[in-house]
Amino acid sequence: MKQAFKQLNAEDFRITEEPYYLPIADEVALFESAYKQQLPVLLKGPTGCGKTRFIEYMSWRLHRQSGNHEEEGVPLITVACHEDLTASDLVGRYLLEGDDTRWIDGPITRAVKVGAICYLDEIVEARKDTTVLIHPLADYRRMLPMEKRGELIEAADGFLLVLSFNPGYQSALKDLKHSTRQRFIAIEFDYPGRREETAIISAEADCHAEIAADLAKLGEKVRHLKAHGLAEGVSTRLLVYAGKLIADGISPRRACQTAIAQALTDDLEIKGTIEEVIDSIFEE
Amino acid sequence: MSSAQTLFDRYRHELAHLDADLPPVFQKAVQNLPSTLAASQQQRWGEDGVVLARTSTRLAAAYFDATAHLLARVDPDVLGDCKELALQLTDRSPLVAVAFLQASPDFLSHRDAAALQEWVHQGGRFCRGSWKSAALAQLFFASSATLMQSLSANEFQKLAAVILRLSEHSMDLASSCLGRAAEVFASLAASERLDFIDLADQVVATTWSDAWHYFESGPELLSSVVKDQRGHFLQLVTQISAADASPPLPILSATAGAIAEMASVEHAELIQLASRLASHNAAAAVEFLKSVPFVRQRITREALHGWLARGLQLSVEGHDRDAVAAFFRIETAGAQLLLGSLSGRVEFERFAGRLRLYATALGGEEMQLQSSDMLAERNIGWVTKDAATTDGNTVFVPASIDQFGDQKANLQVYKVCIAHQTGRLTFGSFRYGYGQDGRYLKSTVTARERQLAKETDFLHSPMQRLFDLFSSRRLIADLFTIVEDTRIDACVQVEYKGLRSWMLRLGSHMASERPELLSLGLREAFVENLLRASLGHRETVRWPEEGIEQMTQAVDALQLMTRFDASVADSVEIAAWLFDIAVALPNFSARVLGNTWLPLPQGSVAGAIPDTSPRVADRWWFDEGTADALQQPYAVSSQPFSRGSFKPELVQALTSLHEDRDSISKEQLQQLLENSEEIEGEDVDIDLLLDHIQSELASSHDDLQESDDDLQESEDDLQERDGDLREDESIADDPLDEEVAATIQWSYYDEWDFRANDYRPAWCHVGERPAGEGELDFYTETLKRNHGLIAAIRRQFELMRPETFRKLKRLEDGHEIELDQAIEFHADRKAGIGPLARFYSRRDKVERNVAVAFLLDMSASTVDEIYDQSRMDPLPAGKRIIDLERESTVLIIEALEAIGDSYAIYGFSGQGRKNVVFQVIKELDQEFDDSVRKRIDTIEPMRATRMGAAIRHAQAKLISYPAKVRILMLVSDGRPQDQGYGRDRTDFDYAVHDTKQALVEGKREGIVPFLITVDKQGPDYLKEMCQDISYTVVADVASLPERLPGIYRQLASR
Repeated sequence: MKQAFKQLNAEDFRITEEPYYLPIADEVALFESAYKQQLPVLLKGPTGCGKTRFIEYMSWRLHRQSGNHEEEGVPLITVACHEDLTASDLVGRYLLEGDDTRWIDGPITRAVKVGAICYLDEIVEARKDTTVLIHPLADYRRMLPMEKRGELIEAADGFLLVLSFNPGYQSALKDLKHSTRQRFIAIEFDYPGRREETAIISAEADCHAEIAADLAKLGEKVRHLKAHGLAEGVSTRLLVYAGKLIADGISPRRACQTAIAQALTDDLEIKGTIEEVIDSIFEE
Repeated sequence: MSSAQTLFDRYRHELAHLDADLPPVFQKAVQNLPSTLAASQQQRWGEDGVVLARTSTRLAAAYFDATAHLLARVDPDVLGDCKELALQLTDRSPLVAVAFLQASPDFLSHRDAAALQEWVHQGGRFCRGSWKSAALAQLFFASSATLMQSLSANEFQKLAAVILRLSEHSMDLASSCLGRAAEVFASLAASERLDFIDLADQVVATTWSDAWHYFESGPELLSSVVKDQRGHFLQLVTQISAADASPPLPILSATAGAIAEMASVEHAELIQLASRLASHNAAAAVEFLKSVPFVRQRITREALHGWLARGLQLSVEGHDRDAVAAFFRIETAGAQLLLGSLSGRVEFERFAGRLRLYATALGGEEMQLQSSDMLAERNIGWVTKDAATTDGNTVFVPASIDQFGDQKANLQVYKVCIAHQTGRLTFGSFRYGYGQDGRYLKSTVTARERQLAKETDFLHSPMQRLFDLFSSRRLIADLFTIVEDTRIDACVQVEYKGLRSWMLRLGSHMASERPELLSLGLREAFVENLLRASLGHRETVRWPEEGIEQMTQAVDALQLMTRFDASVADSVEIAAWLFDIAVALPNFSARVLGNTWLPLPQGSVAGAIPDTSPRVADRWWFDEGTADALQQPYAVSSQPFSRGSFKPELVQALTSLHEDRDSISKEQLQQLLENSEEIEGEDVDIDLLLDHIQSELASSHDDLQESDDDLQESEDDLQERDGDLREDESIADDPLDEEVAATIQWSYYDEWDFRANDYRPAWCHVGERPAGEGELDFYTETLKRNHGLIAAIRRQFELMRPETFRKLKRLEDGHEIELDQAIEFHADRKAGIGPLARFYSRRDKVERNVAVAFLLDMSASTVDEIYDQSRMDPLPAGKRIIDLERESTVLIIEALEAIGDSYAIYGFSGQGRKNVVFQVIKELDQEFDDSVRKRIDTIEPMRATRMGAAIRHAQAKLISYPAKVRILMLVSDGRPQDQGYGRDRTDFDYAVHDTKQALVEGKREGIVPFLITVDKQGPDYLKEMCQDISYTVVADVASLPERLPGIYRQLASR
């Protein structure tokens, strides 16, 4: 049955089912500890290595420990940052309603109020003024100043600020300011090893274990090309996509061409090389 | 009194009166007169003699001397003719007449008397009054007879005409050639002579000064062509030369040299093909022949026709003559492409980029890939021929692969080679630890040590220690190679399933090329059988009936290695076990044995763990005494191409050296190399290998650099083929010290050949290097001197900034309300339409995102001093163009620092296409500091101006820099010019077109190019070069520093 359309307030979004996440190191314990002690967290790592999935998993997992069984999960408010994201986009703004105005809370305000995990994805993409805005929230004060309303909100207990950041990506142009960086504990993520990645692909894409192993192998080989013309190695996400295509009956070579070679680069030589590697790993 | 005496007496007085020496000569002649001569004839003869003597006594003497010989050949009437002809010649030169008379008897022995008249006429024409011409005529008569031995009348006549024509240019040359002619024609076959003369005529007509060289070297050049084709070949050269009036000798030597490289059976066909081409395009025919040896290495004889047909088609389609010639020179990308499609052979260099990436993907980021021909060429003993191998860091593959007929398959062979070699690294072929247990088998080294009753040297690498345990290093090395390669192949097949089918196909191909078993010694045959089984062809194994069980066990044991999790230590144990069997086998010729050789029975379960416990093998061969007598030394088996050469001992030593340079002393290393069976080739100088290893270690951090250089070298080889454009090229010794040389980064760029309408691939080598640092003084002084100007420029540039604030409208939130939109919004709302509340505006600071590269011409001509036109005297202190370029640089830097644009300053010059010098004074992303200031001081005139390559390099750097607007400003003092940058020194069109093409390429990539020249002749070629590209001519050179910032300002604010 197709899933029907569903509308939720941002602060009501909870992860109710356990998301698939394979812990690679001690990141789960670290995060739990940080959450308990209200330390803001910075997730570093390349695209598609599982940062977002990790935060979803933690949102689900933390709830179970809180002992509140009426609702599942700590609410998770995710903001995908982009270069036009302003402070008022995060905090809130006035809207005209009739002859009056009405204040609408932004996502960060909502998270502060309900005690949610506020996840700012790809924070370096946002405008500089937004990063300054989060400073009082990210230290011992845990306060959100709402300039337009002349108010200060103290964060509810469950609130935690989490940023994600991809250090390799356009690092020369965009980097996190130190005043921001040094307010967070940083958990580093990288692509999982071949064995773990095989397990992830196999679980996520629901494909045959051998195919998953080959895809993980391909991932490892393609990542060798990083710094030889590839800006980023192939993400686990793309490998999973390829796995899904294969599980659905697309031939492995074709699936990898579409999901990996074509998706990664437009450079003919590198694309050609990736296709050679694909052809070497998968039989016709 | 005899009639003779009477005759003598009648004339002796008169003769004696003329010359006292004459009478004896006369007397001798009289005595020799044949008795058959009538008295009247005698009398006439005597009178003729006197007549001649009155003209010249030497003439008479010659006449008397020749008489007897003449009479022996012709009838007496001819004597009179000779006298008449001699008298005619005397008018021109008595000496020539003498020469004629002396030569006439021999002449008449080849020709009849009727030809005399013509002969004398020919000889007479050489005489043109000077003594040199007379000497030539004499030589003509003197050598005629010899020449006639090999030449027909017609040929002789033609030769005479050629010499005569040559004599009009140079008497000396004509004499030399004539003198040489007899020998030349004697060496030529009859059928070639006329063609040789025809070509000689062509030589004289076009480049007479080459005539001597032609006579001197022609026959030898000709000898490189197969005998029956030499005439046709000469005709071809004549045809080509006549068509273009081009000098025949260079054509002859180039084409003969090329044909000499070809098998003689192909000569006829080639000459025929070339003459077909020559009838359309003579120059192309030359290029065709010159390229043939190169091309034929790559394509079959049949495909050669296809290649020619394509070239002919180009010609027929009306392509430019030069374009067709370039096609046959294989300088056009089209020709290379076609060649590639006709040939199955794959060259490493052509796919180097792709293959390197492939090796990196398979082997990891540190993996280097190189072609092995440079290793083989150095003869350091690593490999003797083009074979795949690895030294632990770098994988080497053959420079070309031609195993299968088509390119796709050969490319797969490359992949298989790379997979196998990287497999050795990733699957741990070199990670053997001494005494290590395998995954399946326990180590037996301690048992073996006990057997040997000696301790092995702990200082050695594990592999070396292991090999020391065996009585024959050669045999154990061979066996280990086979076993380990079997394991690696199996691992590769599991890891890269997609390669499996190719590996099997290649394996079959390899198995089909194995040596005949019966041609080997018994021990060698045993090893050979293992190799065949290892290649997956167990069914080709043959072994004497009596020992078949043992062979089966051996082959089955090998099967263990096909298990994916078998380790190198398992390989060692299997190899050791096989060694025990093999070493017991006598190595006498398999033929001698005379047993019945059978295939193996169906094998046991593949990959079962074999019983490798030591055993004493049954001695199934005949008695030992006989066997010993027939023993032959064990010869190393040749490894299949796909697996290449395996050097575990050396690689382990190298790896430990890489990790710790002091781990092995030089003496130990030398000892290792001397003992190792892994050194290939005869007469290998171990010291060379030692040097190689040491230098590799010393420069291991420069690996990338080196491989680039190697790449360049091999490219050179590829293109080291003569072409008109390249004749005068040479890379001048660069006076760079080693330190700088090490920092040069080479890039390769195509060059545009407008005549061929195609690119010349990887034609120019651009060496980028940081400029040297000079003193700060120049910069500070320029600042001081131009203080006012700089202040003004800075102000102007700062004024540009406000333009960069952009107003963003129709926002939901902002600093200002746009009144119009707010009113509109309210009206809409009242009307019940639901518009968006977007009536705010905001001024956003948009960062200027401009990157500009200044490319300064540092050619030698910038040394010229400049005169101020208004004053007609030199600028202070003899300012040169380059000084003004430097000054401009200072000013523009000040301006750019004010505005904050990213900028780079480059200088370029160089000499020849392989040495384009590209100096970096400041990089785009580099901070402006004192080192940049100091570098400006070192901008100095160098050599030539290969503009296209420098532009391409600067553009490539701009493109890779993140910016919205990219500008290239080229500051030059004249037209592009370089060695070989055009057909010859006067061909400027080529350079202009290439430069234009380079600028157009940049434009296509979104770069804004701008040219500034101080050359007053600029407009002539700039119109052609910059059709839709902006340029300006700064006629008053001295104003360049002031003008440059202004020009940039206009450009950047557009």
